[in-house]
Amino acid sequence: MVYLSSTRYEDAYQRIVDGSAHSTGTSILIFASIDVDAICGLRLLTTLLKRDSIGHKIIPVNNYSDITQMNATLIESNLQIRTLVFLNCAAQVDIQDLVNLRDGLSVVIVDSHRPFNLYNVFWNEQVHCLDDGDVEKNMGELRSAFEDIEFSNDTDDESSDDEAGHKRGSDSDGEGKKRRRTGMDPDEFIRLQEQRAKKRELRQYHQSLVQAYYAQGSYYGQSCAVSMLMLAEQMGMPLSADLVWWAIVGATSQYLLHQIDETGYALVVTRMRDLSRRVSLNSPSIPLPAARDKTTEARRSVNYSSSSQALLDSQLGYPTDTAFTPYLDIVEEEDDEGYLKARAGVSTAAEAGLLTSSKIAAQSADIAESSELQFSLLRHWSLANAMQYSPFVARRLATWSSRGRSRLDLLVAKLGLSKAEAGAPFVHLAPELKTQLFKRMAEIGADYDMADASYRGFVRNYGWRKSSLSGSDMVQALLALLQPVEGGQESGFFMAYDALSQYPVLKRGIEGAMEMQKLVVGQGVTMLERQAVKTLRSFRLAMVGMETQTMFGSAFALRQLALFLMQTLRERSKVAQSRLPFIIVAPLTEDRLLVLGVTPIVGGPRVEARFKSQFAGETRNKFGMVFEAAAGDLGADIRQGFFDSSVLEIKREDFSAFVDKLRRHL
Amino acid sequence: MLGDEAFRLAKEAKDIAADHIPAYNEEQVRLVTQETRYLWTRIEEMIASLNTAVANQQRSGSSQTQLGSSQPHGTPGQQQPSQSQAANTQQSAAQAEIENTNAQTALYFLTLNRNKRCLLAYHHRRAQFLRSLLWTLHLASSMIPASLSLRLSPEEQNYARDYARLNSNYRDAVENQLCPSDSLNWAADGELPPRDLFIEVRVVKDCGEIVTENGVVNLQAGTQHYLHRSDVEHLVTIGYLEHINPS
Repeated sequence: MVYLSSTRYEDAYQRIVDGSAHSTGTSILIFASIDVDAICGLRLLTTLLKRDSIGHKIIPVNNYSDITQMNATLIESNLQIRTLVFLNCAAQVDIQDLVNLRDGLSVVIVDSHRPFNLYNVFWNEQVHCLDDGDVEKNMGELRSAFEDIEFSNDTDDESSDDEAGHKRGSDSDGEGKKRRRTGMDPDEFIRLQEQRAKKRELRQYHQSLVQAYYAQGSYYGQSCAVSMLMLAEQMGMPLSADLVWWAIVGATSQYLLHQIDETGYALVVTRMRDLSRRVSLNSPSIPLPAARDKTTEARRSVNYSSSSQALLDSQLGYPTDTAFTPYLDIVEEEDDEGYLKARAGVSTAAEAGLLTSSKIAAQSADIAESSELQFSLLRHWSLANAMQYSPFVARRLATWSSRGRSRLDLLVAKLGLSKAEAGAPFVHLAPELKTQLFKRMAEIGADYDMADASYRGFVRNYGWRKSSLSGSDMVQALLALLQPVEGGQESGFFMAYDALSQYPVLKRGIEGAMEMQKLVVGQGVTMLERQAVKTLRSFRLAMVGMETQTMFGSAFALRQLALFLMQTLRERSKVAQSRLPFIIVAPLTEDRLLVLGVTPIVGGPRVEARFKSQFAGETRNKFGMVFEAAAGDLGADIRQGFFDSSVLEIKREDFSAFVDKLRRHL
Repeated sequence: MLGDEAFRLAKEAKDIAADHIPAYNEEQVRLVTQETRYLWTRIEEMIASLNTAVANQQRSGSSQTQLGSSQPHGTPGQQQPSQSQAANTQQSAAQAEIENTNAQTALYFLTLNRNKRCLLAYHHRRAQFLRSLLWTLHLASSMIPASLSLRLSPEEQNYARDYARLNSNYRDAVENQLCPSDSLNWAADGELPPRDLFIEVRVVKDCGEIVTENGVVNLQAGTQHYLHRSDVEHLVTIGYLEHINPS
């Protein structure tokens, strides 16, 4: 048993910890892929390890060659290393190809990339994969097929005598011996021949099964962060708001990047809802620093009563309306007292006013469910900006045309907001306006092609003095932080890691996310205006800023742009063309290009129902195989081996030849 | 103005932060000492003049009493009051003069003392900074970064060296007494026990493989570790590692 079903995740942790029991130094290496989900999962794992005071080492990795390099420098030379943990990487390849699995080394893989490599899931005793239920449910037949092929390959002569129906190695041995003893009478011989023929057939069938499994294309399974949260839960770790929040962020990132579909997301939301309710009730209020004078004393009491009121509300099942937290400027934690003192000078009446408005904002740092609008970063800038720079709004209203832009203005007016109000920071709007906005949006959304403008999400409250964040805000912020900068990818990785707990870093991420949204939507709209996306016979090709290096040289920004363009074109083109695969290209460095193949999560290439997964449905991304085939034909210097197989790097001069090859394979 | 130079020096002493020290301001120190010396000579002069003035006064005072007593019975003439009046005004002028000088002397003296205090404070702060720097560098005076040693006066550099040497001598003596075969972690902060056994560190500069009490650790740039505090604390203090989430 080398995959772990979702009820037995704790075994994985046990294996991780076992390694450290034998040595006092660092015995655990954690490889984390550079993406949001992996960072959230990592944060959960390190929290667990820290609780148990277990030394570990974290290595951010970007592609498979990073891992093999580490194998040479770290694992082979250092016998102290007992456990390798892979977060969001390495499930798709046979782990033995990457690292030298010496005795005593155990590997735990928590990866949302699918399909699993069968050697990892069924073969290698040292490797443990966390399964989200798909292996258990769908892959029973595949397992027997795989084992049949593997076991009979090794011992061809002996097992050819086996009865084909038996696939377990332990059974077949005894059976084989018995048959041989019975010897050589002609009837038996004919029977044997028949059996062999049958067995050959079966093997062919099994091989075709395995082939079909690998050929289905790549997709995503349960978020790494959610898996880690379940692990933590099974380990009896008292759940805190932070832990649950990280899992939510991980899952939200999958949803926003179209890695899991609506059903998969709904599954996570239901699970997270229960957990978030649990931690929100338990979460302590943010204590106010000791106040000295009377006015602040009075304020304190009012504050506490308001928070207990909110607590009462939530216990009674009234939704605490947390979507509309009044926003006050961010004040550093240390300034709290000074801030209170300054505030104490204000007359009590004014303060009472202040407090009634903040009544709804409970003092706790909890997680609340909310219905989120698909307007980007709504809580952090004005409604006008949030709508203008939302890929969703741009796509549905076609804001690249003047007609679309006037429709946007009309929509704002219909929502009952004046231009000035729409341009003001959203959090400063009157609470009634905000409530009204959500209601009006639900009413008139359908007229503007936006009936599905809202989705279920979560909001994290940081008390009433810091603006609250939705899961998608957080994901956008982390993606912005992950943008490669001067210091290389690692600095971004660790910045995002810090941002999960440090508010000032997160704030910087939010600012970056605003820039990124502006850029992505701006670039997308420009490209649509100029009709820069080429529609070829078998696929669409978008080339971004081929002259200059832009921030689209990173897969994160490029993927967002690609998703925007692809969805727009799907919704707005003729039926015949709407389902074409989408490829986007942007310059990475002076002479290299980054190529990305994108499939929508709904309506992409489909697989047979028996491969249907819980989280990604039946949609698969087949670009990995297509790219590989095209690259093989071309024989050019192409860098593959990112954890996402639909990403590759190619030399600028090879690109046109590569596109020619792609035509043949798509 | 009087005492301005010392004030500037004091302000500079205030600028010394935990990780920053301004350059040794020799010019300013010279100005303050110069002023102080000047004040001292002035004080000496004034005290001397004061002494003579007081002596004069006493002498004139006694002569006047003599004058008064010599003519107790004489008829009050026109000259006498005017004479005594003149003597009185002269006397009070002398008295005022003495008081002035007194006040001035006191002022100068206080300023002088203040100058001295400022000078001492300035040097004390710097010495304090130097000592704490040395302790964080595990008392290796050669490890003082060039950017800092540029800002130290030669005397301060000598001081650092001597301080370190004195300390190492003392440590050797203690080690000989307590644990002849082992070495003490002299620079460890003995006041507070560490809160966590482990700390989370991020590698800023590549350290390669280091051997710790608990085995070998490969500290490559761009990785994050969770390690025994005692194993890596010195690397954190010299800036090869960054301690994250210190709370």
